[in-house]
Amino acid sequence: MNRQDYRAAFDAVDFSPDFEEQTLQRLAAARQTSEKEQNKMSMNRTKKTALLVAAAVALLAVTVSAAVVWLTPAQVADRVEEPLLAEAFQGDDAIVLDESVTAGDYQITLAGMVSGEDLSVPTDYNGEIINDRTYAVFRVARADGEPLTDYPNLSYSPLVDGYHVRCVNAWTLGTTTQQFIEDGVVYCLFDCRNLEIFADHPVRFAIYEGGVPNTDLFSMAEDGTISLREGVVGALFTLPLDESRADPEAAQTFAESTGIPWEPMTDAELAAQAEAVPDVEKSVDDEGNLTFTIQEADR
Amino acid sequence: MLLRIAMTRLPSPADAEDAVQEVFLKLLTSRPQFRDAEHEKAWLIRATLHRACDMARSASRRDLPLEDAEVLPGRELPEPSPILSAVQALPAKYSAVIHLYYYEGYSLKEISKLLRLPVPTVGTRLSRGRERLRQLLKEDVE
Repeated sequence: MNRQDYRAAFDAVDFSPDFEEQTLQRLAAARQTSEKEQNKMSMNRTKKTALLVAAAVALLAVTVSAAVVWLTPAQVADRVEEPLLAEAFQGDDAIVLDESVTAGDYQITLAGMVSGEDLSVPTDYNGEIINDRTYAVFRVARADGEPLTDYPNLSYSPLVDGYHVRCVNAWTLGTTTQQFIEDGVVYCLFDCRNLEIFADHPVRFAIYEGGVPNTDLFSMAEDGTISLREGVVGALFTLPLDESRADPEAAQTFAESTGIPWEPMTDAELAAQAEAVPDVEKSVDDEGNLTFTIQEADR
Repeated sequence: MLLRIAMTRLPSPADAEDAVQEVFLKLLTSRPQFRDAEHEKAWLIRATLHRACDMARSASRRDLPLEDAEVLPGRELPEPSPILSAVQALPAKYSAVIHLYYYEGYSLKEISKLLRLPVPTVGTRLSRGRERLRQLLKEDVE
């Protein structure tokens, strides 16, 4: 027997194909039980116990990946002193996602989301208080398992298929984010105007390197589908919103209220626009000075 | 990795899966503090070996004579390979070292860190484990 024979013997063992899923379910059930017990023990105390969600994906791998201890969305809300929101994250309307994507040096996980009225401390957004909001918790860890000690240079934004990325995004939706680092993982509680009004369209949540969403970062297909451009480091999650809660009229009113062109533009349309002769406006002031103003293509 | 380590002590893949799931549940409930990923890996390996040994011991206590055992429906166990059977027949202290050396490719020094054993002890166990395997398999062990 040599090393090759030995490995072949162990590689031939037939483990359950759904072992990872079973393990995750078992751990999730244990986590829920643990959370319920904690709630019974101390309803008002900040829940400080971080619970394992599971790195079971790595269980069958040759090397053991670090089994990460993560906070749940409810615990994240508790940490930033939003008790109503913490409760909402444990309610029936909350959506548990725990979807992870590796992007560049980071593993980005959208942990969960919930929408509703008056779930958080009211905040003024350009003179307006918007109480009906969508909340999402996500976490960012280094893909190599090393702890993060500083906040990564990432932007977070919802985007809606069928609307221009410049029109419906975090910058127009009255967003706030609260972040903290624990055990080398960045936790972020993101909230913005309730996204459910857009639920008859695919609603995305983008976490990416870059600034305000634009056509250099995202592409829009003919049917309105938004994608991250090749080479842009980031992740694009699709939010599982309840389509019955869509309010197309409110969505359209919002889009138009931004004052930004809302119709998506395909790459072909962008190319055609770029090739078009720019509009040149000529003006003469009172002193006879001639000014040419070139209207740049809207990106 | 952990599943195969558990298989060095347990006869069926289903038992190995149970053992590994229980280790992760233990990780969830006891929340040990780890210095780094290596420390965590060593903990997971040792916890899996301990759990698999415990399960193997419990199973041996309630073993029935073959003629009294019921055949359970569902997964039928294929005939295990001679190598697998031989490793499972070794004492746990030898099979752990043999597996980490032959399957995972760890050096004696690395195994000594993972199992918290002196390097010479790991060397002795590897050598004795090989000798036992040679006798069981009736062939040379490289």
